[in-house]
Order: sequence, then structure tokens, then C-alpha cells
Amino acid sequence: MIASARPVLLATLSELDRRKNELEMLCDALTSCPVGDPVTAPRPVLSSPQHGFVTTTIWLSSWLEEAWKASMKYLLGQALRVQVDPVEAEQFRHVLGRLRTFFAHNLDPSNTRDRSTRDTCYAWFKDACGSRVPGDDQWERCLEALLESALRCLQLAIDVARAIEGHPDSGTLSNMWRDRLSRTDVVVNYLGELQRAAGDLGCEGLNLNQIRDRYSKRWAEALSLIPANTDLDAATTRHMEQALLAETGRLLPVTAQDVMERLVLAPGESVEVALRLAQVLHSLKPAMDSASLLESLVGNWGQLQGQLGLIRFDGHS
Amino acid sequence: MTAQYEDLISRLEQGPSFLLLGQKYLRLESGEDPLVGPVSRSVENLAYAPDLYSLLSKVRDDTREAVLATLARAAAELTAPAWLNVVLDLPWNGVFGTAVDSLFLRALRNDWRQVQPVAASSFRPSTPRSTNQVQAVLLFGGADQPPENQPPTGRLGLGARKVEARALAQRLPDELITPRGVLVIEAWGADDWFDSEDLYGVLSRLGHGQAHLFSVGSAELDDEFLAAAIAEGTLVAHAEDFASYVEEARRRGRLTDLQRFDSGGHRIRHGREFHEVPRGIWDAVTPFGQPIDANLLAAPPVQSQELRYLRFREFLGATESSNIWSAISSGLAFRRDYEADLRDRVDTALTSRGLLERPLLLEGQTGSGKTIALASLAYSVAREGQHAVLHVPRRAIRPSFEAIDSFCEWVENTSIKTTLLVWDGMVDPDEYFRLAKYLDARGRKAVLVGSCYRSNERRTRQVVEAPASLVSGEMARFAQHLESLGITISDRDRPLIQKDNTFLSALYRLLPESRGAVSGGLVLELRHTETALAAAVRTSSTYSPPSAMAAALARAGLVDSLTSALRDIGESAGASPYQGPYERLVNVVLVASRHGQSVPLELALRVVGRDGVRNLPQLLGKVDLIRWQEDRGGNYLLSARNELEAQILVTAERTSEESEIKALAELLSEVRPDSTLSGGGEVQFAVDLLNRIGPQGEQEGRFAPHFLRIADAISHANRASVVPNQRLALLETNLCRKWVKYAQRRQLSDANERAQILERAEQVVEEALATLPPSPRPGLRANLLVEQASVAGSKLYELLRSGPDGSVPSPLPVDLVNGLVDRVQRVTSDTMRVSADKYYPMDVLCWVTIDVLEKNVLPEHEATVMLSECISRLLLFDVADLSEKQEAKYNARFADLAALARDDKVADERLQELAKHDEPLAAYLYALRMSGLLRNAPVLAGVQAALTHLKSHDAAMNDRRCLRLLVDLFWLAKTGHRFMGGERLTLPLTREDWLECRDLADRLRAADELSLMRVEFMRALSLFHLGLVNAAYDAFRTAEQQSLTFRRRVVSMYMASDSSGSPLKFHPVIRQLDADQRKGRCWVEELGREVAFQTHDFAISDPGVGLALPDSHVAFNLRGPILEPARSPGGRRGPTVTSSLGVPLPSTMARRGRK
Repeated sequence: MIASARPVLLATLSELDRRKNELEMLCDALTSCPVGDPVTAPRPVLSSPQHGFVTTTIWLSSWLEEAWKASMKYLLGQALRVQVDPVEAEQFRHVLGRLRTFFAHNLDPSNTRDRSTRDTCYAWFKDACGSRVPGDDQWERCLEALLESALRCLQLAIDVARAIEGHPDSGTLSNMWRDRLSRTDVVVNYLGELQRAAGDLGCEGLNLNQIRDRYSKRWAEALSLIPANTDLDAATTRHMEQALLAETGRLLPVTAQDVMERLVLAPGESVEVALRLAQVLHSLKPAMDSASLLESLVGNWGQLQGQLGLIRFDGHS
Repeated sequence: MTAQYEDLISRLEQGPSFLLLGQKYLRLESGEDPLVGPVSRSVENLAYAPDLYSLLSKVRDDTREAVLATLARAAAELTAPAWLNVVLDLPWNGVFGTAVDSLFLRALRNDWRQVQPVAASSFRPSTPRSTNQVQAVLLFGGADQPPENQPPTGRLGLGARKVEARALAQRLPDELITPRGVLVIEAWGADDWFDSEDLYGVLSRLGHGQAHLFSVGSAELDDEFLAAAIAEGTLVAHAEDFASYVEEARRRGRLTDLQRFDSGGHRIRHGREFHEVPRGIWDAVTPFGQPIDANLLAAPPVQSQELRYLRFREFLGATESSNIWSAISSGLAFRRDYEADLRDRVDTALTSRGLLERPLLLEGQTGSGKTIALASLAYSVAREGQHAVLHVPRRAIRPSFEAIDSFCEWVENTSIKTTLLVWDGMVDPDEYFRLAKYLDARGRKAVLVGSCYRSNERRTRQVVEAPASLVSGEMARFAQHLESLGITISDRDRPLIQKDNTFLSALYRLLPESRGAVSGGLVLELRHTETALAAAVRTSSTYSPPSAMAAALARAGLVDSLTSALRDIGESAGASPYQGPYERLVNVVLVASRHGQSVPLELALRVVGRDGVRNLPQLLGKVDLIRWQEDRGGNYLLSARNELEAQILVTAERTSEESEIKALAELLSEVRPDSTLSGGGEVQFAVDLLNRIGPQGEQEGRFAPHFLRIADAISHANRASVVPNQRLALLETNLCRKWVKYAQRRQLSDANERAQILERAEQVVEEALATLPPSPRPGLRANLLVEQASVAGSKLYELLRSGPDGSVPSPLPVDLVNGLVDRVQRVTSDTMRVSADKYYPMDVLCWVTIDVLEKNVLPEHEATVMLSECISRLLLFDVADLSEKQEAKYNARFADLAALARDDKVADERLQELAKHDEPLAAYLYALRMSGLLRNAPVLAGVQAALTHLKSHDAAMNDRRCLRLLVDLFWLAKTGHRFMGGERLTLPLTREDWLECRDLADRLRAADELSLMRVEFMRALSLFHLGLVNAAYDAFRTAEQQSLTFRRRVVSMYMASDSSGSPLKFHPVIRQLDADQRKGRCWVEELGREVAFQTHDFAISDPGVGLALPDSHVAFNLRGPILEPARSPGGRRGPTVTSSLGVPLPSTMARRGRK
């Protein structure tokens, strides 16, 4: 069956490529920015329908939901403003995310969220091919439906971008698009900023690519929240440095239990703060063993408590 | 990290939290307001302005409409920026906005939250701090709001609207934030319409650190009003934006508490399936109860020994209903022996769930662990995933029976068979019975477990007792339990603990905050001289009454000096030592808590004065006597840690009865009802408090001398409220009447004073009835009517003892007596017609009748009429419809009335004499005597003779008492049971019998309003058996409407039968099935119409339209005919065949007794 259907699927894939280029150019024309990061996930392999469906899901997800996430979110968010109905495209994005989770993770049926993911996927399969659990001869219909939905979603984003171009507030809308992109890895060179921060902290030897990959989603989300008049560079540096500090904390010769016992602390945020203080003390004198570190901690803890007044780290003052 | 920075997180976590969103909010993301473009293009010649609000202030009147329409339309097309979604995702108790577009309202709406827009100060939401029905206050109106609430344009319009904006904003400090809450201000700029002077008006009334302003720039910091607020400490300024603050806190694990912050979908687990509870049902139930959903059942996190110890101590220190689920899931709660018995009973009930089960009651004195036991029960049953569970804790908000019914109905429509309702209400057992009756009448498959105080009156199989002290093997298990938490009890202390019923409550105060040397564990040493709790509170570092409360307050920095705090203690006997606001607050809360009541925060603040207690959270944090509780409506309550501790504290304080009454009266006099019919949380507080100390409470004896004083306090409260509340009026009337009764019995006041008090009571109840608005729920009206009848009865009681030494006065004011008797009869009749619980008016009529007859003040004929009417009404009751308490009263009243009747009123010669004047009455009494009903021992021959006798008197056939009796006699004669008294009885009635039955029903319908349900059911049965099936269905519909509160409503009482008493067989074919295939309708060829059926009755696994069902019977309940498979007579759920030859009559007294 796949042999006869393949031309249709390939044609849809090719159309997706064409549309992709179109949106890339539109974004460049309106914002002078790339529409998103390059898509590094391999193109789908359509050697068998089921395998093709899984690889297409992963490819589309890493394209639309990761690399182009900021632009897609922005464009669909402006759809109503330019009289385009975004509902189907938003549903598709939601389903695409669920399908990816469905294929890429072990789902626990007793977990309500996982259960919901399964139910969403079952319902989508039922709509696409008539069965909640597609059989061998039904995967191709699912694949066709998936690609067509992706194409419609992309077309809608293009429609919105073109409408922005012709809108009376085109300048404002384009600026907003650029502003969204300017907080992400698409525009900000996260790796470069990280290298600069690591240099300042004297930890260039770290695997910064790995740290960037681990933190970039969090950074993008955090930076997307800050107001327009905030110093974006300073905010970016703060996040980078915070990540580096978290990554380079020293392994202590004492445990939280030792600290609780010695400082007579109940479990809570004060224990975390005391351990951080222990880290600082240990950094200053790495040769200290556990006993001398605890001794030093007791002295410094009492001194700091006195200096800081009545701050209690459970949030009451 | 600053203290204030962290304090804000704590305040947001505990609430109440409010957001004030400024007019910059759409500019925050990109620096440009997306509404400026559309609005500036909306009309020609609109002068340029850089921002929306400058633009609006330049709009002319003639273009106003077009501009606002464009603004509304453009805002509707916007998508909320990411930061706004983060901010609005918090469970705010209210959001105030100075912007005039609707985007933030839309962003506020989500799956778990509805939004109540408020744009005018004339409107007040009923739950102003609710998080899931959040109020969004549009200080300057909204472009898409109704015309009267649209935003101002032009400078004059703005000036006029500012007054309204200020009035709305003043609600924040005056009514909403409370001393514990916080106000977050974001996107506010110095150019906001709500300017810095307006803002200062709000800030200046808040406490230290209660307001936080985010995204602050230099323009704001330079403003003199804001600078003043910052200097005064009420306002904390942050340069960073609030969304980043929230995300940073979340990254550190704060602002993530599941119960408060994760309000997404809620699912109930059944086996491996999950069923999402519809939002409407969830929202209706959660204000008063907690469905045990999958979130609550999630596995607890693994904890270190130290954290377990801490959580255990927190659990002990919390109020009875807070923090309970995590403690139970973590195994911190100690399982008492009686819990196994309770669980067995519940399992049996859940497995063999049938209708008309009595509620199961867990009873025990304060501190016996009932609350934990019931929550553990709810948790463990839910965890097994076979039944849905709804837990209703003891709270100010009374459960809504309608909401519980909807929840149970939803449960039944999923695959879950039964709902376990755990209502830890500590209310009168009759309340549980009322709920069970309500659910039974709707055919719900629910098992109800309740809690109540220990009573010596109840000893039935439906009660599980919770012993206060540890019994037999419990001590050893308890010691092991503590060992598992790192706490060791010495052997020397064990006998003391076992005997001491305060130990469990004391444990919190006996344990140190930190175990200290954790690896070594903690050895608890007890003092042996007094009860553990008394010793604990005496040696507590923060409390050692009476003067140490002041000392603790001084240490906490809450009173200026110890000397001044102690100034009046001991100086004058009888004077309250509670002079300062904090001392008064602690006192009133402890006094209310010793009676099991939490005090609504607003009420407490009103008593002590709001301005005196701005640092309330610090007080409560440091003195460690009082706890906060928050319900889901955002209402805050203050209480002691638990009732037992409050009792010990108040006792240790040597609080005199006088000062306790004074504190209670002060509290009650400050109660302010809201504008709803129920009066809101404060009125409920008054009702609940009086349920403990008032006329129906177990402490009635102690408080009865003070009822009048309490009534005065309530009267003061009602007079001071904007709209007087009828529930408060009911309380006042009841207290007045009960005080008169108390004073009369003890001859404490003269008759004139008592008469005046009764006049006052009468006036109050009449005013309440006159001002009571029409309501679909007749409960309050019925209660007021019962009270009105009772007051009339009390007046009669007083009157009959107003002669010398309490004798009947001479001459007797006959007209007055007759007037009062008429009134009682009329009002009780009215009440029985409208009330869901018909027994209370009946009881009033009974005691008044008995009293009047015992005093022998009425002429013979009038006395007999009164007695007959009373007995006749009593015989309308089915004891299955009564609670245990009501049933006991019913039997006692019946016996008293029967004794009065038997004296001489039904002797032959008296009846012959009576017949000359009142033939129906004589016939009635004769038939009553002949039938044996008067002795509660009907015999068939007597019943037949009585029936013949009544039928032979034409006058009797139009008299309502006779007709009521005729119905009973007719059915006793035909079936051996009183009407509607059995289950699946066949009906051996001939065509003539059915015609007679229909005639009887028609006559009774014309004569007696109190028999409507019986009449319609009788008519329906007779029409059905006479072949008039369509007319029968009409009658069934009327019967169904009349039977909404009748407990046996869904019980199949009769079977369609032939005249020999054999059940008729029918041959149904499925014609229609509901979507869930649980029920449907069949075509029944013998009847030529459809009849309802339930698939599980027929055990069909795959029902389908067109499928012929096996031979069937038609059963009748008050909802109409229903098909059942033809079962063998006598078997389980099979028909009970009664033949026309007659069956021995059971004793009605036996049926009145418990099975």
C-alpha cells in the first residue's frame, strides 16, 4: 500500500518544504531575523507507514514545536487580530506535542497526565483512520492526515504573516515578532553569552554546549517574561551565571543531616541556606574536613544570623 | 534575599492575595500598547496621543460610542502575553484593574476559575474572596461592559468615575485583604488614571509589607505618595517584574503547593479508569467538601526521618481539618482500634448497598480521634478505587444537599457503583438522617457516615463508638508508632498516657520544634501530676495563664509593655482582664473554640477593632494559640488548635461563666449577615454556636439562664445589619421562647415578663415571615412557621398556668384559648403542607393538644375535635420517614394521645351523645377504636367493622379525618398493610375495589391538602388497574412531584396484579436506550405503551433496541411504573403476594419499631 501512496506523501512533504521557505523569507522581510533555529532532526523516513508516522511526528515536533516555537506561537497568537481563525492550528500543535510524548516516552497509565496524553492520541487516531489503535493498513492514513494538518498549520502561519505585512499596524506587529525572537536562541547567541560568563567565573573547561542544551529552554521562557524596557543583556548574563553556579557547586564533606544536627535546625529552607554557606566556606578552604567545616559553619552561621537580624528562611521575619 | 522578598512568597502561598493591574499592562511586553492603533483610527480627527488613556481622555461625546466599540473589538482580538498568563495563573482572591479593556478578564478565565466582573460599587459578590469564582474589579469600567459600566472618556467623565473607582478600591483594605493578605501591584505607572494619591488612600490602610509594587521605574520612586508608603513600610518596591519573580520562586519549589496552585482537572479513579469530574459539579461540591481525587491519592514523597518528625509535629499542631491528607498518605496518623470496626461496617454497607440504610455514626467525645479516623476512612476507601468518596469536613459552610446529589448522580452515570459520603460534621444525628432521606428519595446509591458527640441516648447498631482513651493493645501500637517517628515514651509513662484522654491533643505541645540531636532520637518525659494537656499548656513557653498570655504578647512585641498588659488583671473582680485587642481576640476565639466553633475573621476583627490588630499574622505566629483556616470560598476562620485544648485553656484561665457569656454575647452581637437568604458565614457561625450552647445543644442546661441575653445579642446584630436576616430572627425567637420555658419551670420571673418576651418572639417571627422573599426552598419558611406555632403554643401554656400558683385562671379567657388553639392548628397545617420535614409541626400540634387536654379547659366537643385532628394527622406519618429521635418522640406522643383518647372519649355512650352534634367525629372515633389503630394493634375483623361503619355514614365520607382513616382501613383490609407501608406487595383488588379506591382518592383530594401525595398515588394505582393507563401516568407524575422529600419515593411498593393477588406478567421489547445503556424504555404490548426499565435489573450484558426482555412484572414506586424481571414470590426482590382471602394484620407498633 505504501508504494502507491508514497507519491502523495512525498508531494505533501515537498509542499511543506516550499511553505517553509516562504515563511522564512517573510520573517526575514518583516523582522530581519531568522524565523527560528535550524531544524536538526532528520527528515522522516517513509519506508514503512508506521515508522514513517513516528519519524514524521518527531521531525514536525522538533521543527514546529522547538526550532520555530517562538514564531509559531507569536503568529497563531496574532491570528484573530488579522481575522484568521487559529483554532485548528492550535489543536494541531497540541496534538503534535501529545503524539510526540506518546512515541518518545514511557507513559504510566495510572498517572492522570499520561492517561490524558493517551486519550488525546487515541482520539486523534480514531479521527484519522477510524481506529484508536491503527493497524498495519491504517498507518498510512494517519501519516497522510498528519502531514496535511502540518501543511494547513504552516499555511495559516503564512496567512497571518502576510496579513501582518498588510496591516495598518504592520510596524508594531513586526516589532513585536522581532521582540519575541530577540529573547531566544534564534537571535541571542546563548553559547557565546555562556562562554563569556564562564570566562568571567574561571570555568571555561566546562562542557558549555551541554549546559546550553540543558538550560536553553528555561532561559528562553524566563527571558520571554521580562518587560520591554528591561536590560536584556544583563538579564541573560544573570541566568547564565546562575546556571554555571548551579553546575559548579562543590561536593561537600557534610550532609544536610549533619547540618541540621549541628545547627539544631528543622528541615526547611534554612537547611538549604546553611548548606550553601557551607559550600562557600568549603570553597574558601577546600582542605577542611567535615568536622572543621561544621565548626566553621557554626561560627559563621551565628554571626550571619546576628548581622541579618531576624530573617527566618521559612519566609517569616 | 531580603526578608520582605521572602515574606511575599509566604503571603502569596497562604493568601488572601489580590492583584492590582495598572494601565501599562499591555505596554509591558513590547513597550507599545496594541490598542492605540485601532482606537486612534476608529474616528477621524482624534487628536494624537502616545498612549491609550491619553487618547481616551480626548474623545468627544459624539464619538465615544464608536471609540469604545473599536476598543472592545480590538481587545477581543488580542492574545494575552506570556507574562500575563504567568501572573494570572496564580489563584488570586481578587483582581483589580485600572485598564478598561477585557483582555485580562479573558486571561483570568480558565478551566478551574470563573470570573465575576465588578464595575459598580452597588454590586457585591456573595463570595468576595473566592478563588474559583474570582471577582475582577474594573475600577474604571470596561469597554465591553453594559453602558452604565463603560469607561469614562473626556476629562469630566474621568473626574466623575474616579469617585466610583476610589469606592471600589477601598474594599481592598476595608473588606478584602485582611491583616494576613497581600496586594501585588503590577504595570502601574505614575500616569495611571488611578493616580498615586488614590493608591496611597489604599496603601495607608494596610499593614507592614502588605503591598508590593513591581516593575518600578524612577518616575514611581520619585513620587511623594509612593515614597511615603515605602517609608511607612506598607509598600515594598521591586524593580523586577512580577512574572519573573513568580517564575524564580517556582524554580525554587515555592508557589507550587498542589492544593492551592494546581487547580486543573480533577479525576476520580475507578479501578484502572479515571473519570474527570465535570467542572460544574466540582465547583458546587468543593466549597464544603473534598472529593478524594487522583491528585490526593498520589504517592507521598519519600522523606528523611527528620522531615517526618517535622511533618508529624506540624500535623499535630494543625487544626483538625487542615493538612490532613498529606499526613494520612504519609502514614503519620495513628490508627485507633475502632477504625477497623468502622471500616468493616462501611465495607458491608458499600457492598450490600440498599435503599433506606440509616447513616452510620461515629460518636465520641472531643479529642477521641474521630476527625482523623473519618478522613483515613475516606482516604483508604478512595485509594482502593472501587467507590467514589466525598469527604465533608466540619466547616462553617454547610453542605448543599443538591450538590451532593449531583455528585452522586454523576458517579452513578460513570461505571462507579456507589458513593461513600463521609460527613465529619459533628452535628445532630437528625442532620445526617435528613441527608440520607434526601438522597434516598432520589434513589442515590450512597453510604453516609457521620460524626457526633457521645450521647447516652443512642445505642443502636448504626453507631460506632470512639473511646477517648487508648484501649487495650492500642498503647503498645501507639508507642511503636511514635518510635517509628523517632520518639520514645518511657515505660513509666505508659499507664498515665493510657488513662489520660488529653494525651493525643497534648502531644504537639510536648514535642520540641526540632528533635535536636536527631540521630539519638527523642525521649519524651511526662509530668505525672495533672493531665498531659493541662501540664503542656502550663509549661508551654508561650502560655501560662492567666498573666502569661500578656507576657507572651509582650515578648512578641505586640503590647507595649508587660506592665500595661497586666494593668487590670486582678484589680477588680469580675472585670474582664482582656483589655487589649490581642487579648480580647485570643479570648473570644478560645471561648468559641471550646464550643467547637471557628470564628469568621471579619467577625473577630469587628469585635476587637480592626485597627488594633494590623500585625495579626505575627501574633498568631508567635503566640501559638490560634490557627487560621481558609475555605475554598476564600473565607478565613480563626480557631484554637482543637476543641479540647481550647477547653483546657479556658478552664485554666479560670474564665468565669459571666465573662464567657459576655464574650459569646459580644461575638453574636457583632454578627453581620450578608445579602443572601442564608446570611453567609457569620450567620452560619451563630447557628452552629447555638446548636452547641442553645436550646437544642447538649449544654442547654448550663446556658438556659442566659438565653434571653443571647437573644438580645442576636437582636442587636440583626438590627445593626443593612438587611435583617430571617435566620437570625429564627434564632432570636427560639431563644426567647426557650428562655420563657426555662423561667416558667423555675418560676424565675413573673408572668408578665414572660408574656412580654413571648409577645416579642411573636412579633420577631411574624416580621421575619412577612419579609421573607419567595424561595424555591421552603426550609426557612417552614422553620419560621414551626417557631410561630411553637410561640402560640407557649403562650397557651403560659395562659393555662396564669392563675394563682400556676393554676388555670378563672375565669378562663375562652376566646383567647380558642384563638391560640386555632392558630396552632392552622399554622402547623400550613407548615406540614410546605415543609420537607413534616414531623416538627406535627410535634408542636401534639404537645399543645396534650397540654390543652390535660388541663381540661376546652368544652368536651372542642377537646374531642382537637384530639381527633391530632391523631388523624399523626396517622398520616410513615415511621420509615422519621429519624430515630423523631420516631421515639412519635411513639411517645402517640401513646400519650391514645391514653387521652381512651380515658373516656371513645366510650360507646359518649360517642352516641357526640353523634348527635358531630356525626363524622363520632364515626371517626368509633372506627379508630374498633380498628385497633388507637392501640396500635389493628385486627382484621375490627378493621372490616370500622370500614363498614365509616362507609355507612354519609357525613363521614366528606370529613377529612374520616377519609384519612378510610384510606388506611381500606388498604389494611385489602393488603394487610397501611397504604404505602410494604415493599413489592401484590394487590388482590377487584374492579369494584379499584373503583372504590379511585372514589376514595377523589374524595380525599377534595377534603385534605395534607394527603396530596397519597391521593395521587392511590389514583394512579387505581387508574392503572382500571385500564386507564394514560390517566394513570398523569397521576404518577403528580405523585412524583409531591414526593420529592419522601424517603421511600423510589421503593417499589406495589406490583401490578390481578384480582387474585397474583402479579401480572408483561412482555416488553426494548424501544429506547440512554446513551450509557444503563436504563431505557420498553414497549409493553399488554399496555400499548412504553414503560421504564433498568438494564442491570435484567442482567443484560449487551442491550439493544428491539431486544425482547424476559417475562416481566410491573412494579410501582412514587416515580411511576417500572419493569422488573418476573421473580419468584418471596425471593430476594420478588413480589410479596397478598391474597384476597386476607392476611393476618401485623402490629403497626411493631412496624413503627426498628427492625
